[in-house]
Amino acid sequence: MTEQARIEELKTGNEAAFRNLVEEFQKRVYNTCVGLLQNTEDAEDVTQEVFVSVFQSIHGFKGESRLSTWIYRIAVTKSLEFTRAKNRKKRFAFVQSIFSGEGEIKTDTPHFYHPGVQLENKERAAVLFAAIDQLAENQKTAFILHKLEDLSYQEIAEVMNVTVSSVESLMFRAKQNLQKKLGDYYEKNEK
Amino acid sequence: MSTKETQITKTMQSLDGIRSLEVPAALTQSVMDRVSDMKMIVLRPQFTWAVAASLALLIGINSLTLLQYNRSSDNAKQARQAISAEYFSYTVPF
Repeated sequence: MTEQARIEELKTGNEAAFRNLVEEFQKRVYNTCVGLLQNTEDAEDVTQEVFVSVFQSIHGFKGESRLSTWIYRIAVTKSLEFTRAKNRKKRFAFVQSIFSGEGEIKTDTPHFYHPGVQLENKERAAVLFAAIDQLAENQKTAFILHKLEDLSYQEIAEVMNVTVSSVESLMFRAKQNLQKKLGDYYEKNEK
Repeated sequence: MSTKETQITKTMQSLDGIRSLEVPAALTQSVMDRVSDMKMIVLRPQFTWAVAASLALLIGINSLTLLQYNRSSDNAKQARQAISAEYFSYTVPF
């Protein structure tokens, strides 16, 4: 079946076609969300949101990009929205704790141990994930899609709706920033 | 290479060979359940247009009725004024 035929079938609301789509893409969506959110429970919730959104908006999908690109785009957008909302809540709770005088709130998030990382790299990967979490959204997205999802720069460019050279520049800056952050981290921990 | 640089390089390479995670078993069913619940309330574009057209028609009919009612109430008011003018026509205005 061609992709166009598949899209047309999805547009008719065929449940079996939609189940096939979920089964085919859920692993990629879930892993992208895990990388961006650094939390498996949140990733599960956001993955559900992604497919609900796919179902709701498939009628508006014009087929200008590949289906996989479109789904990745939704996954990235939903994950970033979720992170922003979570950060807003954290900030609000922090401000509230100051005014109510309920003592200090722990703002540091614990390290994320990705279950797919090789055992000997667990600690280092956790430090790297903490540094990734501090990157700008677009650098973080490009880095995660490349490192975790193994997407090419061309594919990342399509997902992020930017040029390939922009992705190259984002990746370069992401690596540079990560090295700087890791440098600071190890300097602080050596003392 | 200094210890710090070695640490950075090793950390940067720590995601090499990362394994994709398996999706939680109940995820597909949870998505399908949510979609089935939504199916009843999701409107397709052609239905959306039909609903919009019906609403426009309803508003149009209501406006016309209101206009008609205003016109007829104006006529009734004029009739009432004519009758009262006729009835009090014998009185001398101050």
